[in-house]
Amino acid sequence: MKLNKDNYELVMFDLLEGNLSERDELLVMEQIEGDEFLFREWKLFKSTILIADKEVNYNGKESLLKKESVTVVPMFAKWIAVAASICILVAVIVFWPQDKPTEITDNGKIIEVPLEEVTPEIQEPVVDELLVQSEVENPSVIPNVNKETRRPKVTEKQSSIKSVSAILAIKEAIQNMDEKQLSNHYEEIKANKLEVIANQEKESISERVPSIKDNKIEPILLDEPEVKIAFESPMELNSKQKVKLFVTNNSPRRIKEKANAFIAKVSNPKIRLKPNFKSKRPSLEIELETAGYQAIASIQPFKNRNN
Amino acid sequence: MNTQEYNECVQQYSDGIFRFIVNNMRDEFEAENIVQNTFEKLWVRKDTVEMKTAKAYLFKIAYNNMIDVIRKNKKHIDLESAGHLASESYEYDNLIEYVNKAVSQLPEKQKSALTLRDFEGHDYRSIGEITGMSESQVKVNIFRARKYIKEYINKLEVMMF
Repeated sequence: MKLNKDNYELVMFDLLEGNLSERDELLVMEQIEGDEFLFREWKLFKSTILIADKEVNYNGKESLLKKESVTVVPMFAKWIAVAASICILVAVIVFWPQDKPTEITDNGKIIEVPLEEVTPEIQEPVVDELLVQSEVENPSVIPNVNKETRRPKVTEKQSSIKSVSAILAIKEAIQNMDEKQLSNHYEEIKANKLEVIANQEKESISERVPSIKDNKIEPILLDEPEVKIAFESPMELNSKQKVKLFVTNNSPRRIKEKANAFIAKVSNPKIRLKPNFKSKRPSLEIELETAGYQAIASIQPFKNRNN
Repeated sequence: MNTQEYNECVQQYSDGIFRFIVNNMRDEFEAENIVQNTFEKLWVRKDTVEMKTAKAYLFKIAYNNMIDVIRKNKKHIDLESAGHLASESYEYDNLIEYVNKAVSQLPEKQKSALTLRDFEGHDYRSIGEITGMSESQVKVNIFRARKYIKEYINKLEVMMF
């Protein structure tokens, strides 16, 4: 690399900036040291390097520094989290679905069926027949329920299901009673009914208003069952009659308990609503299907939809 | 960038930025404001800035801030420097002061490129990122700056001796 008047400034600049190779640096330095003009120019170039004054410092560093931010978690939040976790755990344990399919045997008892034996085709139309026929034979089968409330509204799906389930529960309960218990039970009922008739004769109709105890209206039987003195022998009762007997002679609370017990045994209920509002007599069919059970209830909530 | 890294940046670069601004503006008060604004901006955007690019980022913010301030005060500075140029020529008694005087008269880009190069040791690429120039433009500006300073010093030496 040869220095001349045209290029010496650029070469010296590159030398100063460190842009030359070691070999070029040596060649250029030899030429600079051998020429007085170039040496003076190189000295001036070196003086252009700025030297920072280390005494000049910024004094406001402390004001610029930031402290580590710490996220404060209140203690009650932790306790809420713990309580929520416990609630969820309890809920899971309590409401975990029990997939134990059941089946009605020939003698009317409900037994659990192993999973491999369960097929979707197992459907016995037990309840619809039971419900409909029992109503036809004796409207007082369902106790302490007003006629209007017994016919559930279309939207009251859940109450309809409970009614159906209650009858199933009653049936089961009666089937589980042994014959001796049933016979004794009948004798008691017979005696009670006779006593009731005797009392009724003494009391006027106006006195049969609902009694008030502790500011609570005691429920009354709206459709009291017709008392039949000549009871059939318990031995000869079929399942429908047993249902009738249980429903007629037990308190609503007892019936409800039985119904709930039965509902608890029913797993994965599937409810289907089949409205038919186009016919002259609009109706609504409610189907309850579980593992091994199927119940159908048909209601006609609209007497005349045209009005 | 977390808080610790931000504080590290303050410790490492605040002095350099301050010197860079002071050398370019000759105004310590303005330099302090610019340093403060620069680190405030870094704090706001610390989540998007990485530690390895923080130095260039800080100098770029400081440079842009300085340019804004200079543009605002341009007329004022021009009037001051024009009045003092002739009278101050003989007030400097050493080379560093000559050089500083020469640097103060450089165009803004040349001055910034040169101070970034010499004070902080930035390479051409980094200077280009800070000042918005290409590498070749940076090199040309630094060359012109050095040439101007050299000639300025040479002129003063001729006048003195």
